[in-house]
Amino acid sequence: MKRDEELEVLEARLSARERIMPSSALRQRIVLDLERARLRERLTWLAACAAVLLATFAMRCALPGSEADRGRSPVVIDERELAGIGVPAVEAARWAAVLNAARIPIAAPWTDTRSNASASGDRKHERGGG
Amino acid sequence: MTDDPLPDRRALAEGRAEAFAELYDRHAARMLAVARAITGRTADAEDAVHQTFLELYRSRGALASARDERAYLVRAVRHSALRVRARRRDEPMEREPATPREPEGDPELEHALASLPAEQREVLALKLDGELTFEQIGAVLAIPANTAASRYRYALEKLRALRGGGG
Repeated sequence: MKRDEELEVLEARLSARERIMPSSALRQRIVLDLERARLRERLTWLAACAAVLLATFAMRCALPGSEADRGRSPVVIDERELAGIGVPAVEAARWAAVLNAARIPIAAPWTDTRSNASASGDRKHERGGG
Repeated sequence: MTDDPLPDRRALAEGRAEAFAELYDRHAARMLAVARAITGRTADAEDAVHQTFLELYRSRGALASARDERAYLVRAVRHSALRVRARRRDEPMEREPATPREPEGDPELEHALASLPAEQREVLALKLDGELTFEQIGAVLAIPANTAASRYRYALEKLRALRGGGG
């Protein structure tokens, strides 16, 4: 047999070696783990969203000027306001962007000492008066 | 190579388990064969494939945009198998059986394969078990395609010599 033919035969024998059959148990294990991973990811994402919302709300409560902001929707937060309540300057711009992206429409309810009707009247006044 | 199109890319990108299950159905045999060739043990090969799928899930954006899915998957399983093999080597010897490779169909051929240099054995595995072209092997191993082809040829020649076919 020629050398090349021998190599071809050898190649064929190597190719024909018995292979491991993919098991359904392994498939099931993989699918289960991937579903778990997906669920974990979603929970992490939800927790992150909740944390941002909570932080946004807390930050909004701590900000000065809620009297003037009341009725403006959404309230636009200036990074200087954040710096004013102790947020480091380097973080303030980033936080302002996050807070403004969350578009919180009103100040925290417990900072509002007036009645809803009064607040509503103020808003009408602001809209009418410009 | 585009003969094995990926399952719904969007489903993969979204991380849907059924899309990965489809990927398993299409490629597991090839991936197990490559992993087995590297680790030498069926259980380790299954571990490697399992790990590979978890990693594919974590980097599913890259998977969904892979242009050559077969090479992508073989590359991924090769990395996992090399890690499994390294971990196995670090384990205490009492857990390792006396024979590092499980016996397969042709013990003589397996013995000859085991005596090949690692780089040649790997090219053989990628070509015959992974069903990759030399270009794809070159991409997986970061070597020129010609080098992959030479290693393959040397491996076959050496196997032939070891099996008494000349040399």
